[in-house]
Amino acid sequence: MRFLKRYLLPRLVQYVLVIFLGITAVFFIPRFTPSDPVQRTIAQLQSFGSYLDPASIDAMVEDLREMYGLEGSMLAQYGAFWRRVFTGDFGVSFFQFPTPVMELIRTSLPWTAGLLLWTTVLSWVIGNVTGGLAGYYSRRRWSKALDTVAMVVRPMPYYIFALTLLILFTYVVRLFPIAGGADIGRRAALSWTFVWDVLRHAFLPALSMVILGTATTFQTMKLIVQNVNAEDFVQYAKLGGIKERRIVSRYVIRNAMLPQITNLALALGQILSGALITEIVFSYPGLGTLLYNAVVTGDYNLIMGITAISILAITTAILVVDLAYPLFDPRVRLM
Amino acid sequence: MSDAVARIALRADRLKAFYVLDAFGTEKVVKAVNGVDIEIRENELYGIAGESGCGKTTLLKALYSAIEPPLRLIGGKVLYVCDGEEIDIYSLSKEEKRRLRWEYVSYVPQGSMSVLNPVKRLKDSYSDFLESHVAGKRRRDTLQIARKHLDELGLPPKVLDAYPHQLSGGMRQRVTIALAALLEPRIMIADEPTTALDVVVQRGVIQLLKSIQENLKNTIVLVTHDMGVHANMADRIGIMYAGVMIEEGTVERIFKEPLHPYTRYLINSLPKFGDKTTRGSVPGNPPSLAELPNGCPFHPRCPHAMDVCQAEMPKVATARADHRVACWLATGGEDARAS
Amino acid sequence: MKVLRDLLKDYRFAVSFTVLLLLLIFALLSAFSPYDPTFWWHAVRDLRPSWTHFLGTNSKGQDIFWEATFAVRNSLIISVIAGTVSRVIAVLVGMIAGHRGGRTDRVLMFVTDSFLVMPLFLIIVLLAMLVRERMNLVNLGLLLAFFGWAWDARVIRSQILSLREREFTRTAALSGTKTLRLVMKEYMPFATPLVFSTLINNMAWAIGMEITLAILGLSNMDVPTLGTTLQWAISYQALLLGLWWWLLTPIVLAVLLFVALYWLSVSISEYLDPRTRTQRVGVR
Repeated sequence: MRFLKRYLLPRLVQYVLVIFLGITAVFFIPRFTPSDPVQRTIAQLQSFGSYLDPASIDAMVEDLREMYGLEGSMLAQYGAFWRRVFTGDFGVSFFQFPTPVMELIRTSLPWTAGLLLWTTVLSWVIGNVTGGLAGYYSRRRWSKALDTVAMVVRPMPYYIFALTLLILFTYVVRLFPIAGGADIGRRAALSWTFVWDVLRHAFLPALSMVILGTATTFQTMKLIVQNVNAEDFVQYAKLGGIKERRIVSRYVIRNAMLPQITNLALALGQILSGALITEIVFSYPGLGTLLYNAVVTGDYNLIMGITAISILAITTAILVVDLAYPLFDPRVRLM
Repeated sequence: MSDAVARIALRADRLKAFYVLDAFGTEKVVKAVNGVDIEIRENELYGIAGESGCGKTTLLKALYSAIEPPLRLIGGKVLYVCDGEEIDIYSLSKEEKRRLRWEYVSYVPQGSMSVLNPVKRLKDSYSDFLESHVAGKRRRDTLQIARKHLDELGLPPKVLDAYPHQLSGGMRQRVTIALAALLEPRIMIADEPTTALDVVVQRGVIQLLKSIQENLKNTIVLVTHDMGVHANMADRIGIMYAGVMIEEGTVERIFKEPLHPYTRYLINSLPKFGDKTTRGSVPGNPPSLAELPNGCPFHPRCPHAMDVCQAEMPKVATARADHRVACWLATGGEDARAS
Repeated sequence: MKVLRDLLKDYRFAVSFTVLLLLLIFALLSAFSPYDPTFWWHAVRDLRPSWTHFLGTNSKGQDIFWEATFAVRNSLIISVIAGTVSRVIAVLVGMIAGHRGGRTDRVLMFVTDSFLVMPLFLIIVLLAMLVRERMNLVNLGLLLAFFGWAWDARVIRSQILSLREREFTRTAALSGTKTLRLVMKEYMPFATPLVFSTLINNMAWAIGMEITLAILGLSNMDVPTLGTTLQWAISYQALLLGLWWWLLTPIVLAVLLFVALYWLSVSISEYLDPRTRTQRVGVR
C-alpha cells in the first residue's frame, strides 16, 4: 500500500498531467500564432495558380474553419478538441484529402513502431553489454579504442548520419534501395519475398539508428560502470575473493542497469524524434515521411494528429518504463 | 600465552607501499607504509592504533594483498604461514591469491554499512561468498550453513532474507563481521569496525569479535584510533605514525609504560576516573605522507627531539620482552646509534 | 590560465578547441566575403573546386566557400543565442526551484519534467510551421531557447540543493544576506562551470535542430546556414548531378562542429567532476 502511494500514484498523476499539458499546447499553438491556418491554406491554394472568386473563397473559409475545428468559442473548440483526441478523430487530411488523418497515421504507425522497437532493443542490449565490459576493463586498450569511436559517432545528429549512410550505401556503393519501405507494387503478404524486401529497405534506417543508439548507450553505460566499480560493495566483493564473472554480472552490471533504465525513459522522446528524422531521409513509409508531407503541404490536422499521438505514445512508454523500475531496485519496492 | 609457544600466523618484513599519483603532469608520492616490520601471532587479538591518515588502512591493504594502482608495493614481503610453511603472497598467481582470501584471511573494511550488494538479499550475498570458495555445494546447503553460522553467533537467521537497506547500521556491521568469519579463516582483519556507531552498538560489535575469536581460536587484527576499544579488546597493540610502526607491545605494557613520546600523549589523552585535569593533546599536526620530514617523522612535534632524531630514522629495538619501540630517546640516543 | 593549460593536456580538449577556433576564424572570414550571400548568379554555376573558387560553385551560381563562411557564422549565431537564452532560463528555474523548495520546487519541476518528456521536436515543427515568415536568425534562436532549457534546469537545481545544505550558505542566510545577493555570491561560483558545459551541449543540439528544420523547409531559405545550404544542395539534386562538393561542404563542416562541441563539453565536464578527475590521476 505504501508503495502504491509513494511511487505509483505520483507517477500516474504526472502521466495524466503531462498528457493534459501536451495536448493543450498542441491545441493552443496554432490558435495563438500570428498566422491563421485557414488564410495560409487559401494562400497556398492560390499560389498553385488556381483562381478563386470571392464567393467561393468565403465558402472555403467556412469549410476550412470547420475542418480545422475553429468554429465556435475557444472553450467550445477546446472541448471539441478533447473529444477528437478521445475518439481518435483528428479530422480530415489536407494533404490526402479526403482521407481521415487517423487512417493515414494507422497505416504509417506500424512501420515506425517496428523500426523503433527493434532498433531500441538492439542498441540497448549491445550498448549496455559492450559499455559494461568496457567500463569494467576501462584500462584496457580495446576499451579506450571503443570509447574513442563512440566519441566520434555519438554527437552526430540523426539527420547527418542517416544522410551519410544513404549516400554511401545507395549511391556510392549501390547495395541498398534508395527509398521506401518495400518495392513499389509489391503486395503485403507473409511471403519470404515480401519479408526480405522489407528487410532490405529497413536495413539502412535501422542501421543508422542502431549505431547512434549504441554509441550513446555505450558511453553512458561505461561511465556508470566506472562509477559502480568504485563502489564499496564491488570492492568488497573483490576483497572477498568472489569469482570475477560473478562480480561483473551480479554486482557491477546489475547495479549499473538501474540508472540506465531511468536514462532510457528520459531518452525515449529523443529516440522518437530521431526515428522520424531518419525515416524522412530514407523516405521510409512511417510517421516521419508522413510528417514531412504534412509540413510541406501545410496539413495542420495531420501534424496535430501526429503530435498528439506521439505525446500519448511517449508518455505511456515512459510510464511503462517507470513502472518496471521497482522490479529491478528493491530499495524502491520496499520503502 | 607464553612467547615460547606462540606461533606466527602472518609476518611482514620491511614492507613499503606508496601511492604514486600523476595529477596533470606532476608526480606525487604518498608514502603510506614506509618500512613496517610486523609479526602477528596465532590465537591473539592484535590492535593497530594511530591517527587518521597515518597509513593504517594502507597497511591492512598491503597485508591483505589488496594492492591496486595507484597504490604500489615498493619493497618488502608479506608472508602467510599456512600449515607451517611461509608463503610470500605477492609471489602467488591471481587465482591462488583469490583462493586464500576468505579461507585463510578475511577482511572487514571500514564503513561496512555499504559493502553489501544493495539489490540482492543477504542470503544471496552469503551464497556468493560460499560458492566462490567451497566447491560443489548446492544452494540449499549453503543457505543452511549460513543460517547455522549466524545462529551460533547470536544473530537472528531471518536477517538473511532481508535486503541490506532494511537493516540498521549496527546490524549490517555485525552481519558483515559474521560474513568474514563464515569460512573460519585463520586471520580476520577489521578496519575501524566500531567507528560511526553509537556506544551500545559498539559494545555489541566488540562482543561479537571477541566471541568469534574465542570460538575459532584464530587471530583478529583490529584497527582503530579509539584507544578505549584497544584497552577493551586487544592482547597486543602496535602504534602507527606517519607510515611506520613506532611502538608495539602487550596492552598492559603500552598502557602502563609507554616509551615513545607519541604513545605517551595518546595514553595520557584518555580520560581516567577521578582525574579532572585538562588533557593535553599532541601539539602541531601530523605530517603529510607526501612530504615527510627527514629522520624520525615525529620529531617536529616531539618535545624531546634531539639532533639525531632529525638526521636518521630510528631503528626498531626491543626495549623489553615483547615490547619494541622505534625511538632514539627510548633506546638511549647517541649510544644506541653507535650499535 | 592554469585551467586552460590543464585542460589542453586532454587530447580531446586540445583537438576540439583547435577545431572550434578554426571554425570561428572561418566564420569571421565572412566579413571579408567579396560576394553578398543573398544574391545568386555571381559566379559560373556548378564549377569544381579550383583556385578561384576554393570549394567550387553551386547551381545557384554562388561561390561555395564564401557561402560556407556565412553558413557557419549564422549557425553559430543561432546556437549562441539559443544556448545563452536557454541558460538564463535554466539558471533561473533551477536556482529558484532549488533554493525555495516546497511547492515552488514541485511546480517548477513538474513543468520542467513535462518539457523533458514531451517530443519537443514535433512541437517545434508545429510552431515553426506557423511562424515561417517571421523566421530569422534571432527568432529561430529564441524559439530553440524556449525548448532547450529543461535538462539543465534540473542539473542546476540538484547542484543548488546540495549547496543549500552546506555550511557557508546557512551562515550567509543567517547573517541576513538578501536572497539575490546570496544566490549570486554563493551559488554562482559553483553553478558557472556547470552552466558552461551544458551551454556547449545545448549549442550542438540547437544546430542539429536548425538543420532539421531547414530540411523540412521551415527555415528562411535565403539566409545561408548549415541547414539551408544543405537543403539547397539536396533539393537541387546535387548528389545525382555529381556536384559532390556542394553537398559535402555543409556535411563536413557540420560533422566537425558537432564532434568538436561534444569533445569540448565532455572534456570540460570531466575536468570539473571530482570523481572522473581522480580516475585520471593515475597509474604510472
